[in-house]
Amino acid sequence: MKILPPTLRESNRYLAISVTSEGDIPRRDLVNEIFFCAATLLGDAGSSEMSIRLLSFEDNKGIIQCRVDRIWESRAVLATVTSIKGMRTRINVLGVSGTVRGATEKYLLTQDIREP
Amino acid sequence: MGLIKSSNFYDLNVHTLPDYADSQSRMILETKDMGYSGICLTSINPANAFRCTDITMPTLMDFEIYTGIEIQADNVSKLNKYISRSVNKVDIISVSGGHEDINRGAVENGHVDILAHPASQGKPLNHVLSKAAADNGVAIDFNIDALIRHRGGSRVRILSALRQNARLAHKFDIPMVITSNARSHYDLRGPREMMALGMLMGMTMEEALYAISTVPGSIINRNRNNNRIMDGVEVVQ
Repeated sequence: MKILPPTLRESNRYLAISVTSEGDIPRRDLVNEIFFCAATLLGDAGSSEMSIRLLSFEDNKGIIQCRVDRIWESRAVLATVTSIKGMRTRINVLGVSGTVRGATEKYLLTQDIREP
Repeated sequence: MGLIKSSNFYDLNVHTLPDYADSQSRMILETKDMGYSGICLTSINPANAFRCTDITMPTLMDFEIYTGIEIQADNVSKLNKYISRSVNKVDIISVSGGHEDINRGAVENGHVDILAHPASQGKPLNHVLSKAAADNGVAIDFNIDALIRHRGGSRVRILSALRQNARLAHKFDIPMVITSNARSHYDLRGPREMMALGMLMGMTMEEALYAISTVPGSIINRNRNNNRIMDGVEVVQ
């Protein structure tokens, strides 16, 4: 099967996220909770337009893909995540980039050095 | 995007010890990490007493810490008493809204800076309260914890009331602020997330940006300016 030519593909943005939680969060539960929050906040129609998907998640950091014109809605959905399996959770958006590589290099690979 | 990047963000309603469990230094570090340039640590307790808190950490560069009080009262005369007691003791005076009488008492008092969560009982403001708020310069709070803490029917009611408030604020030129009303560091959100939730409450992108940067900044400037006596009266020399 032929793949879609680049001009006809949807344009995406990639959000680098970090998850702060009381315990370890499995990838499966995080995905379920994000989709549940999207469905309760925007409904099925709204969340289908966002085409949100979790590309990678390890070490409490990950990358989320969404449509270019639905970045604000995606941020709002991520902000409404408060608990996963009874553990209090906060999802922090570190930054937005146009490519997976850009998001990884700019926001995920940098070391987190706090002021003393 | 350049406009967002160059703005200073403030969160004017964050609760910490001794009223809630998280320490001041933790909240300050978390909010600084998220990109804020200042927060207001707000006392909230049934006695409506401002508890002067010692912050056991070195002062941070480019980060301002303000003190505030959120006044809870069950009738207007008590509310006015508590407000006059807190004037000149704190940077920001906010009033826990929700009930219609309290909302009215707050917007008609010129000492109040912020009417916090006015729609917490699902009732929007009306044109009378809006005019009073615009005359007295009382900012209307759009608390994002209504969206992140509630689910289902109560969230729908509060959200539609907040949309009505945004419409009135737009029409009557009331200052709008977005605050987190955070009770622990899990309730904090980054500035752009606050903007995104503000846009769900019916604000435009510019209004949401000003509600988290310019409007809080001007409230702080107004209260920290020692030359100011009251609206329109200022010591020039």
